[in-house]
Parts: sequence; C-alpha cells; structure tokens
Amino acid sequence: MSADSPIAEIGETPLVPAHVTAAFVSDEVSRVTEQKAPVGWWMVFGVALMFLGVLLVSVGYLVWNGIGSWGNNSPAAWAWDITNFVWWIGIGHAGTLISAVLFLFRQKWRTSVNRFAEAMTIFAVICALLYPTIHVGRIWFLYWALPIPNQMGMWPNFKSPLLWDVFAVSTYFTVSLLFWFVGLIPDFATLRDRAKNVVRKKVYGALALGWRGSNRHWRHYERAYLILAALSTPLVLSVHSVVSFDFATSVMPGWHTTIFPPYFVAGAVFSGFAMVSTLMIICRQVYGLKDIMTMKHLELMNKIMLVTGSLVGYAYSMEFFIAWYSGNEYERYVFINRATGPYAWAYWTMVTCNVVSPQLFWWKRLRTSIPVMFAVSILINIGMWFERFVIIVTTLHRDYLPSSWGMFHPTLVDIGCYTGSLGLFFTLFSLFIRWLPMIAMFEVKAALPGAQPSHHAAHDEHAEPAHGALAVKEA
Amino acid sequence: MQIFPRSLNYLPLVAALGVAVLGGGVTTGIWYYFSPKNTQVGYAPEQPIHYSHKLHAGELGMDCRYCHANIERSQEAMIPPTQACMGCHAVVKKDSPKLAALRDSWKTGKPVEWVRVHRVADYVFFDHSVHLAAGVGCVSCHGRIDQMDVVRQDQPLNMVWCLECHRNPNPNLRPKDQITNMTWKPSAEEATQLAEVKLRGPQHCSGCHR
Amino acid sequence: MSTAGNKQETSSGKRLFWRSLEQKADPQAQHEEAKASDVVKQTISHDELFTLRRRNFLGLSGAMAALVGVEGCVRRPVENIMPYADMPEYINPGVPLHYATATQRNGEALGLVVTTFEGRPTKIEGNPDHPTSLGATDLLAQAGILELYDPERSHAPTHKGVAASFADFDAFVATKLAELQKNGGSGLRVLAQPTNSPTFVRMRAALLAKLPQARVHTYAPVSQSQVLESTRIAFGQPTSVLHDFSQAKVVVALDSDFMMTEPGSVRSARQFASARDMESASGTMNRLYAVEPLFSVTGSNADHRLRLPAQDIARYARALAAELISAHGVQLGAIAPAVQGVATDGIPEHWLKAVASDLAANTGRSLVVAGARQPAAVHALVHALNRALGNAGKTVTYGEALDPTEADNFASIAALASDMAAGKVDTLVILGGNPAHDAPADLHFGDALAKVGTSIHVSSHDEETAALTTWHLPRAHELETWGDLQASTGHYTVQQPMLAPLWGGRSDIEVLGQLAGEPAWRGHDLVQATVTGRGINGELAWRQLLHKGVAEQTFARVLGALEVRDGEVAGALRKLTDAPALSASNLEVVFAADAKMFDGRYANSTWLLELPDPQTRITWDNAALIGPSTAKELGLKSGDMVRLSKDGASVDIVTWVQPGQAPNSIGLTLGWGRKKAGSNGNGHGFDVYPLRTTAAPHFTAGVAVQKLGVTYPLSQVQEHDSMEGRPLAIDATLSEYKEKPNFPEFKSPDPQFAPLWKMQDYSKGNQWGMNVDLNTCNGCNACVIACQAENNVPVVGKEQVARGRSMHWFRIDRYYVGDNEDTPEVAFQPVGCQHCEEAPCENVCPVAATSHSPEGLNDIAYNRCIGTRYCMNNCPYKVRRFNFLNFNQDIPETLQMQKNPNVTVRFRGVVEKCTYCVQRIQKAKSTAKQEGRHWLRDGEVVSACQQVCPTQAITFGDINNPKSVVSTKRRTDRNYALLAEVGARPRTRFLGKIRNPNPEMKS
Repeated sequence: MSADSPIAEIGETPLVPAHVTAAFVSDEVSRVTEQKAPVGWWMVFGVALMFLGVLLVSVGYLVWNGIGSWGNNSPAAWAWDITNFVWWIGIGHAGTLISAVLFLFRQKWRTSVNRFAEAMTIFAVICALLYPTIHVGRIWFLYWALPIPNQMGMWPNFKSPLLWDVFAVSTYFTVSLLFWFVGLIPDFATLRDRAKNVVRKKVYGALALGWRGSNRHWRHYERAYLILAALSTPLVLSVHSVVSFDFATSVMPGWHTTIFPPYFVAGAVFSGFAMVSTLMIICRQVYGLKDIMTMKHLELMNKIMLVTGSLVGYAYSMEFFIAWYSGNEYERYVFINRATGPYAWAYWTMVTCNVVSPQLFWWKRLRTSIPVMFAVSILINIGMWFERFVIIVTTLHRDYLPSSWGMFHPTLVDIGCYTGSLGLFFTLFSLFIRWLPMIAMFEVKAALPGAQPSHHAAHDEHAEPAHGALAVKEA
Repeated sequence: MQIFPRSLNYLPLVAALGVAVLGGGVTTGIWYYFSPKNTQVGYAPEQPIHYSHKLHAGELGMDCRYCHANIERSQEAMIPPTQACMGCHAVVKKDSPKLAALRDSWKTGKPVEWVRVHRVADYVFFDHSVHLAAGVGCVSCHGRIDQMDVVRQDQPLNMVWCLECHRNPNPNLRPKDQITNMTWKPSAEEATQLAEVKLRGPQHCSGCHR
Repeated sequence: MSTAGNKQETSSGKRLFWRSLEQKADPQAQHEEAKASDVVKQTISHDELFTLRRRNFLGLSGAMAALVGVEGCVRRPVENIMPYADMPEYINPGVPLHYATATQRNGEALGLVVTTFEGRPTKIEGNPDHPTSLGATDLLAQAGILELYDPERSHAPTHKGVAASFADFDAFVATKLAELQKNGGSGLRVLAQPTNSPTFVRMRAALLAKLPQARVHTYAPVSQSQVLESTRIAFGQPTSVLHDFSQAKVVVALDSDFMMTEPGSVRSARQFASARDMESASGTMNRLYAVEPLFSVTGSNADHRLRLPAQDIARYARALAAELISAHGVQLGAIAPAVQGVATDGIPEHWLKAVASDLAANTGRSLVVAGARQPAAVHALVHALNRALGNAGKTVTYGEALDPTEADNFASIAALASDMAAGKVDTLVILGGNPAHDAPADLHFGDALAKVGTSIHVSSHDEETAALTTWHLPRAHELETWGDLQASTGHYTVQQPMLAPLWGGRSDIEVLGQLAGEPAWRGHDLVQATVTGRGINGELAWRQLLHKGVAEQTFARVLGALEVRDGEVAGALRKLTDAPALSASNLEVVFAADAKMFDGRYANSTWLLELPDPQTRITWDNAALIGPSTAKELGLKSGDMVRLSKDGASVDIVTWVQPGQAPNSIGLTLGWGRKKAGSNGNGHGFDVYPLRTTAAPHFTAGVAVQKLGVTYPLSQVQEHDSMEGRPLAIDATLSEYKEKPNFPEFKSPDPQFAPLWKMQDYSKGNQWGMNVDLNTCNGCNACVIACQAENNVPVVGKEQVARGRSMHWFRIDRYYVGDNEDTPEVAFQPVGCQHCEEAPCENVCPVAATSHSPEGLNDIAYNRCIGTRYCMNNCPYKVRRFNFLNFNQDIPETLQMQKNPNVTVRFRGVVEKCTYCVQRIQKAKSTAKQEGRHWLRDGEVVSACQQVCPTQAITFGDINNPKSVVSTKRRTDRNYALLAEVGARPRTRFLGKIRNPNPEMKS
C-alpha cells in the first residue's frame, strides 16, 4: 500500500480534511496574494518597517562612531553582535530541515509548512549575515576576508573558523535560496494563470520561467528538487557545526568543548521550529488557513520541539558533568559562574525557557492547544537567544586571569541593532506573505486524499504531474 | 495566450554571455587601471627648482651619495640641504635665474619645498641603510635616475612588488662598491657568486610594519 | 561615548608631521637660545591633508580602499619635503640623538637621557652614569615628555590677567629693581620651592647680598623639612640622609614609602631589589618590616607589615627603642629614659620582640628609616638607633645639605602669609609652586595675596595662583632651559635644553638672576658661571659634563657617621605627646603624596590621570582610603560620598574601602581635584588641601565622617582582587623555596604533549624572550607609562576605562593574598603580550593580521586588521587592546610631536598590543646589518619596560644565546610560564616571588 496513505490502525488520520479539494487549495492560498491585505497585515508590516528604520539608524551610528557604540569591551570583545548572529542562524535552520530532510524522508506533512519555513530560513539568514558584517572594526576592509587577489599578495587565514563561517553561511544561503525558488516555480505558474491584470501576469510570468506543467517540466523539476534537497541536507548539519567551531576551536573555558557541534545543531533545529510555529500560528489565525495548516501539522512540530528541547537540556547537563569530570579549575569555574555568578539570571532564564517549557508537550491536551504552543514557541525563541548570550558573555567576562574580569553592559545601539533585525525579518516576511503563495499549493494537492492512486503507489512521484497540470487548467 | 514574446526564450543564453563578457571586462579593467603599476608609476611632479638628475648624476657623473649623504647610515635618504647645493653653485652658475629659489633659501634660511616622488604608505617602515648594506642598488627601486631630467617614479612600490624581491633578492644584488652605479652589469663569475648568496628579506609583518 | 581622554582642543596654527624625510620642530624653535643649545631646531612644513593622513592613515587609506577596492590607487596628495637650509654637521635625518640631562624630583636629582628626533624630544630614559637613576626612571619622569608638550602650558606672560610680553615684564623689572635698590629690597619677598640647584642657591645668595632687606621663603606641600629638622636636632647641623639599602639585611620602614614617594626612590628601589635578588652572588635575602597607616607600594613589598595609624608610629618607634635597650643592651645613652614606659596597645608583642632581636642580630647590616610624614623627633630617634645599631656609616651616611632652608618649610610660608596679611609685603615673587591651592588652608594664602602690592607668579600653567597674581610668567620646562642639579650623593648635573621653549618661558634661575641684577641672567650664562665656579674649566670639560650628564668629582661633603646629641634628641622625644587613642568617633586622616599627581603639579597629564593607582587600581580619581573593618563600623561602601570635617574645614570625597589600611585612619592623597590645572586635570578627583593646616600638615586626628548618602562612580582597570586560588603570581616563603626550589613549576605544571602538527623551528637566529622577576618587581607602574610613551598608546578617558576599554599594552596586575581583608599580602604581576609560540590569537584571525615572525615575535600588522576581535577573545592573558573608538582623534599638534616616529598611530577598529618594542629590535638589526653582522649581541635591544624598570625586574633578549641575561634567568629554578597548562608556550616567563618572613613573628 502507499507510503503516504494514513494507517488507521495506529490512529493516523489524513493530513488535510476530506472536503479539501485541489481547487479549494488553489483558491485558499492564492486568495491571500490577490485580495487586499487585511488590517492585521498592515499593522504587522507597519511596526516591522518602523523597526527596520531603527536598524538603519543604529547601524549607521555604529559604523560612523566605531564598535565603541556597543557595550562590547575587554574581556567581552564579543557580546550581542555574535549572540544575535548565532541566534538568527539557528532560526534559519528549520527551513532546510523541513524542506530537505523531511522531503527525503517522504514526510508528506511537511507540504503545508515547508514554503513558510524556507522563506523564514532565508530571511533569518539575511538577518544573521548582518552581524558578522557590522561587528568588524573596519567594515570597509571586510572584503579582505575573501580570497581575492590583491596588491598586498595576502590570502585570508584559512585556519580561522571565522573564515569557515563565511563559506558555510554563504553556501547555506545560496542553496536555500535556490531550493526555495525552484519550489516556487509551479505555484508562480498557478498565480500567473489566475492573474487578472497584466502586471501580475508579467511579474509572475517572469518568475514562473515559462512553466507550463508539461510532463517534461515536471520530470526536470522533480530531479532538480531532489538534487537540491540532497545538497542542502548535509548543510543542515554543517552550517551550525561550523558556527559552533567559532567557539569550540578556541582555548576559552566553556567554549573549548567537543559537544558543541551536535549541541548547536539540536539547538538550531529547536529554535527554528519554534519560530516556524510562532509564524504559522499567526498566519493561520489571520488568514484562516486552519484546513491546510491543520492541528496535525502543529502537533507534529511540537513533538519535534519536545525532542530537540530535551536534547539541548541533555547538552546543558553534560557540559556541567564534563566541567566537573575534566578537573580543569578554569572550566569548572566558568560553569559554576554561569549558574551562580552575576549572569545567573540569564542562565536560569535559558534553562526555564529551553528545557522546562517544552516538557509541557508530553501532554496531548497542551500539545494541541494553540495558546499553549504559541506561548511555548515564544518562550523558546527567548530562551535560545539567552543560550547564545550565556555561552558568549559568561565565558568571556570571567576567563583565566581574574585581573581582567569585567562585566558587559549593552547600550542603546546594541538594543537598536537587535530589535532592528527583528524589524528587517518581519518586513521581509510580511512582504512574502503578501505577494507569494505562503503554502506550496501543488505539494498540498499531492498530499490530498486520493492524490495517490494505489496502483501508482510504487512510484507515486509520477502521479503528481497530472495534478500539477490540473492546477494550471483550473485557472 | 502568450504574455511574453517567443524571442525571450533566448534570454538565458544572452544573459549568460552578457554576464561573462561584462564581468571579464570589469575585472581586467580594475586589475590593470587600479593597480599601483598604473596609478603610481610615472608620477613626475613639477619641482620648485628644475633640478636635473640627468645632468648631475648622468652627464656630470656625480655619485648619489654626494647629495644623499646619509643613505648608508639612516633609514631615510636625506634630501640635501641648500648648503650642499651652494657648495658648487656659489661659484658655478651663481647668477642663473633658474637657481633664484635656491639662492633665496640660502639667504632666508627657509627650506626649498621639494615635492615627494617616492612614497610608501605611512605604516610601512622602509630602511635605506639596510637595503644598501644588503647590496641592493639604487637603480633597482628608483630606475635610471641618471637619465631622468625630471624625477619620475619607476617602480610601483607596492607590497607584492616588495615581497617579490624579499623572496628572491639575488637578481637585485650587487657588490657593495657598485651600489650607486646605474649601469653595472655582473660579470660571469660575479653573477655566479651573487646567485649563491643566501639572503632573504623579511617576509613577516614586523619586518616592515610596526 | 566620547573619548574624554582627548578633549584638548586642537590648537590653531601650523600642523606638524614627522614621517617626512626631514624632521621639523616648532616654528617657535627659531628662538633665543638656539645657538647656545646643543640641539638644532628647524621650521616645520605643513600639508593639511598629509598630516590628516598621518593621524588616521587607516581611515583614509580605508576610505580609499572602500572606494575602489585597491589601496593607494588614488592620485596621492602632494607632499612636500623640507630639507635643512643649513644642516648642522652631526644631524643624521632619521637617526635620533640622545642628550644627558636631569630632572628635579622631591629634592633629589634624577639623571636622564633624552631621545630627540631632529630636535624633537620623544622619550625620556634614565642616565646609567647617574647614581640616583642608574639607567632607570620613575613614572613621573616618563610622563615628563608629555608634560613638555602639554598644549595648555602658559603661552605668554600676563599682567593683571591681560596678555603681555616678556619685554613688558623686563621693563617692569628694571623700574622695580631701581626702586627696590633704594630701600635695600625691603618688602621684596621671594617664595621658592626647596631646591637642589647650585645655581639657584648661588642666585638666591646673590639676591640677598644685593638686596639685604629682601627675604626668601621656601615652601613645598611635600618636603623633607622634618628630616632636615631632625638632623639639626641630632647632629647640630642640617644634613642630607643617604641610605644604602643594598647593604641592609634587615630594614624597618616607619611610615616610609622609600620605593615610591620618598626622595631617591629609584635608587632605593634598585638597591633594595639587589639585596633581594636570589640569583645574585650573595644569594641571601633581606627582610623588610613596614609599619604604616596607608597601604604603600613599600608596604606591599614588605615581608611583615603592621598597619598602624600615623600618630602611633612615634609610639612604636620609642617602644622598639626601649625593647632594644632592655632586651639587647643597645646603647642609647640619655635617650633611654625618654623612650621608657610607652603604651604599646595596638602593637603586637612580637612586633617589638622579634623585630628588635632581628635588628640586634644584624648590627651594621640593618637599617631603620622613617617617612617624611613623621615628626622630627621620630627621625632623630631613628638617627640615634641607626647610630647605636652600628648602621651609621654603613647602611646610612650623612652629607652636607645643599638647601638647609627647606627645614623651615611650613614655618617659612606661615611667616610669609602673616606678613602678607599684615601688608608688610610689597613685592612677592613666586617661583614655581601653586601656594594659593596647596598652602596650608589656615593661612588663607589666596586672600593674603590680595594684600600684596605686586605679585609675580612663575609657573608652567595658568593655575589657581596665577589668577590671583599681578604678573604670571610661563615657566619653561626642564627640557627647555638650562639649569643644574646636585644629587644628595653630591653628583652634579647640568640640565641642557632639548629645544627652545615651545611658547617662550623662563626658568626660576633666570628670574632670580634678573632680580639679583645679574647682567648676564640667561640660564646658559648663569649655569656656566656656576660650573666654572666649581672648578670645571674649559670648553672640553664643559662638553664632557654635558655629554656624560654627571661631573667627574662630587661636591657634597660626605659626613659619614655623625655623633648623635642624645640630650637634644631626648628633649625632642619628650615633647612628643601621645594623642588619645583613635576610634570610629575620633578618626585620623593621613595626607600622602599621590603616586601619580605627587602634590598636584602633574595634574594635567592624561597619561598619569589614566594610569591606575598601584594599590587601588583606580584611574582618573583619588579617594578617601578606609580600612574594611573601619568602613564596616562607619557603614560605608566603596563609592559612597562622605564629608570629612575638622575645625570648620571640610572635604567631600568618595570612599574607597582599602584592604590593609590602618584602623580608624583615613588615607588622603594630595594633588587631585584641581580647579585650574587644565582641561584634563580639572575636576578629577577630590582636593584634600582644605583639611591641611600648618599645625598638622601630615596627619591629624579628631576628624568627623558624615555619610552624604550619594555615590560617585570610580573607574578601575582591575575590579577583581583575588587570584581565586589559581597559580598566577606564584610565591613561596624562603624556607619553602629552599626545600623546593622549583616551586612555581610545581604549582603551574607545563604539560609536554607530543605536537599534533609540525612545530616551527625556533632554534636558529635571534629568538626574543622576556623574563619578569616577581621577586624584585615592586609594582611601581613606571613600565606602564614607559610603554605608553614608547608605543604611542592612546588615552581613552574615565568613562571608557569604566567600560573596560583601557588601552595600556603593559599592565601590572595587583592581587591580594590571604583571608583577612584587613591584613592582606600583595602580589604584583606585570603582564604584557606573552608572545606565545603556539599563539591562540594567530589561528583565529581571518585575515592573518597577527602572525608569527621567525624570531618568535607575535607580530601584529595594524594596517591589515579588520577588527573582528576574535584574537582578544582567544587570548588567555587578555593583553590585546581594541580601538573601540578613534582615540587618536584631534591630537593637538604639540602632542603629535611626542609620538614615536617609528611606531604607527592606530586608527579606530584595529587591535593592538605589546610588540616587544619591535621598532627597537628592527633599529638594532639595521645597525647590525650596517656593521655586517647577522645576529644581535645581548643587550643590544632593550625594551621600553625593561629600560625604565628601577628594580631591573624585567629582562629581555635572545633566548637562543645561552650567555644572554634572559636565558640565564630562564634557566633558574624559579622560572615558570603563566597559564602553562593552556599550552600556548609563552615567550614571556616569570620568576616566582619569594617572601622572607621572620619565623619568630606569629601571624
């Protein structure tokens, strides 16, 4: 029998309710981009734009005056800048994971989530990339970190994890972008064909790259998508592993740990899913897409958060154990200091948000309650930010020589640069919601009951072209 | 119904070609026109006094060190004081209108405001004495000064250019007594001797940057 | 986020630069003494744009690069080269000249050698041939170079606040003299600071001879008056007291900070260290007992320290004498009855018994010293003790005092003030000093000034006093004028000008000479007259004197061991009255010379303002130092504002809880809270002079403390005092050391792992390394300023220091050891870049801006740094500094002249750190190559911190050369690497500190 059809015996139900038809999906999703934007959208967009302005001002001030406009100092030479970088990169993880990994594992439930997640990934990575760029003292020489031939006869230092970051993150961004766009092509075609005025026709037409849904198109599409999925799957693991090397390869107590790569990846997926569900819940309410983004989807995501959250919790405790077991007094002190020192409040906020709150999802009733999951997803986003803050600042502010110990105090510009990046993110995201199909229509259709005739079960990928074509015809 | 003309099907091809050509052009453009070789070499500013090295160093055959007296003992190759010029020009061409500025300087004690030709960035600490001690001749960096009526920059004086020689100085080495000789060519055995010299300029940061 | 440190306004006029082929000093330089001076000045060229480039080259080249992607590809601005018109024969452009001179420090001469680039002094070092400096200097001398270029020094004479010219003044003096000569100079008073300049003394005599009715007064807020007074009591004549710590096995310091604020501190510190050096031939170690109210630098280096209020020191001295007499039969003759039966409460018994027996056991090899704060009677007793212990003539000798008038310090100014108030003073000449600010408060000197007919103030800055006087004359800096100084050892030095006064200005001797009606009153002539008068004749002798910086023959008659007049001493001791015991309601304040501001004369120096106090680590402020237990009793925390009041006078000041401070005794350092010091010094710290009276200028009890309920922010460079039990500044007692000589390695093991990669081969050529001996380092902080002066280290200002952005490349960490916070021990640890062979900072830099040189240097190329700050994070020693803001913005032109031309001035956004003074290494290499050598001899390269160190705690050199000093140090058993277990293999190594406690002392 088909791999996708629900197994009633174990209580599986179809991903989308029976009354949802292909036409229904096209209407429901396209509607959003075709009608006037609801008030809710304008409110979100307005606020987001405002904060984008804050970002521009803060960054301008920073570049003009120097890094001293932030609270960074010696010993805390890195603080909110890198904290925000790692936080955004982490958020940018869910996208690829959902799209690529779940795609490869044929997890059909991803269909209504992935477009969303991918968009979020791209915007999050854009925000992330902002920080390594502006955190350098002489931004106008940033290009020296790239291997460009120059009159100095100098190469960048390939031993530096920061350089690895440059490559890892840029690769991840490129692949994610391609992956997203390729996935969008058939839906662009749908929009094009539904378009009434000529501007929409031309714009979506251009974006659709002349897609006609022919069998040949579908075959190429499938192959391209599969290859990209295969390409980006290792990236899911590599990017955050490389980011964790920034710390793991250093000699600082609390940073120099082999557990970092898996720990960071788990954390990234964790925060990524949290952000996805936050956004989904909002859009679901605003646009009434309950039938397509079903409770089933949300519940499945909550389960993943429960798992990754527990993984992160395990990592926290393991760090303490190793610190004690290593017998290294500096390592020990750092962790005692995290839990009891001047930044203990940050540490315990992190533990409460990341380890305790997801445990609620053990109970189905809480797991399926919108308010609860929304609250928890927000908490997780906060908690994960604090995780990075704790790792970076509490290690730096008290390392080897007590004579150099100090404290970090953020400035207005710090706050501006952080809240501003949220502004940037939501600006981009609301624009996405407004103009692009936020749900992969053709994929949802492929997941509709009966979309997979049982005699095609063996190779159901071939079933899809028909439906794709159908989507076009309906217009 | 067609939104786009059929011809658009060639767009990808055209775009690809365009990017290739344009990109290549821009790269080579920057590569050549923005390189010190192009921007620095040939700089020959007008000097307050038309002093001709061609005449003094070339035709009259004066040794560089007659005026740049301290180059073997200092990082900086001094520009001669007015007094050095007056050493001769108190008697030679002592009424030449060309030397009016010089005579003023001698009278008033105000320096002659020469315009700097050879200049490295402020954070580069070049030491003449060391290079001469190593046996690098003037001509290697300054070119055929003895043929320049107006002094012009002959070499790019940028980092890669420095490093080339620091990595393999032998081609630019010569016997210490030939340092200022503009026309010196190694004899056969001199060439072999110099080829064997195991000398390398510093290639670490603090060699030149402090 | 402004850089409070650099808030001087750019002074108008022509800008200066110094990387052009020929160097130029200031236009003013074509000035009077030009011919006379050994140094030649030239006029300065000026290229606005270029100078701009020079200051923030990174910025502009950066902007260019940003513009078009490749550096230096924009048509460069026209840049002029200005050769000399007439070049002096021995000037070699680009190669500095060095001139010997000396500076006056607290009544002692300090021999100096000044480095000048084409007439532009940039650095001050000690003169190795001079007995009081021995090649080293103190931090004040290092800051002297900044003082010279301080753009806020007086630029012109003023008459009644209106700018005038020297011509006006000369005219005035001429007429004034005429009328003074009629009445023999009655009504003419001169107020001068204590001096050790023979020419000054000669001129003073000349003046009094010419105008017999005139009177000369002597005053300085910090002086040796009580020492001179004591010698007058003990020996019947005022003498100088010269200690020789190198010969003393046991030293008892009674409230004496002889390593820091007492005269001749550099020499004393060197001698003390030499008697402590474990690797020296003798190999034995001296022992220091310190009894003091404040936690002084000397106290920090003591093997045993007793915190005792200043008023109880006298009691302790007498009790100790009594113990010596009774228990050890020391002969004090008539003094004996005067020291009997002194109350010993607050003094632990072993502090009498054990100390006495230690002294008695080392007769002729011990030394008792008392601080300038203590009354003459105590000093007299100390002389008697040293005599009785057989130390006189061995560890302490006495010499002819050059300026006995110093003895009357406070009496003298009191007399003057009363005469002024009584209107008896018609003309007052104030040579240096700032009496309106620092004279005892009860004299109301400022008000008295109003009653003076004509007052003339000669001083470097337009300060508090200048505002109240008729005339103010710019006082030329010591590096600008001719002068002479005689050390207490009798060695004679002529001060020669490095450049003509930047803004005009005259020296004390010139003004004095003028008043004395000398026809040739120019410094040069006066000094030469003195020199010939001292039997140094002929051009050759004169040139030798200038060249060597110290005369062959000495001049002060050495009096050796003098007979002590027991009777007089006993009499003086009987006059001592035991003050009532102190308590929280009857507190004592102690006035101390500040380690940085001294008495306030250095208050406008940004370097000194930002230098952390050796003990409190506070920058940009002073504070009322209160012991922890006392503070608890008073309910005070660090940062609380308090009002200290006595007899109507009061001072509002911030509290600092200082471990080791004597109970019920509050330490106040002088020289802060200036109102007219200049834009840097104004309003920093708190002025404590208002509490100071002629009756009790040094310490006084009965002070009430009132908590004001407000707090005041203080900027510290080090906020954590404890080592947290980590093996950082490793120490051991002498006995521990004897049984386990390699104790540091034991405490900080060096794990020898097999390398995972091919290690760099450091076996060839010069390999640079540094060694810091924690046993001799006394934490004076001179190295910090020396480094700042040598390496163009910027000042960041109080706010930025508070944010943790201090830029000092070299710092001295100060840790407190021990559980009782009232009586901690101190461990100093100088830390600069350790130049690790496996440097963590190097791997992480994405642009390879910091990388290793084949000679083991951890290079940093500022112009390559993009400022990711990753290296700072990864440095276990936290020695890397980042230009968070543009700390070099708008440096006034004269301050630009101070910059070392061989070191890049850094722009914002780049990381910097100690380079082992690589510019000095390269300079030495250059010379070597000129001489055809390919490696350097030991001692050919001296790092700035090593050169300045009074105790020679820092050694630097080639660790590949087995005979070099640094390698011999590294071979000693006390040698260890800081944080060795990190595995960075630092090139800087430390030698473990050894304490020498007396087994008989409990505690």
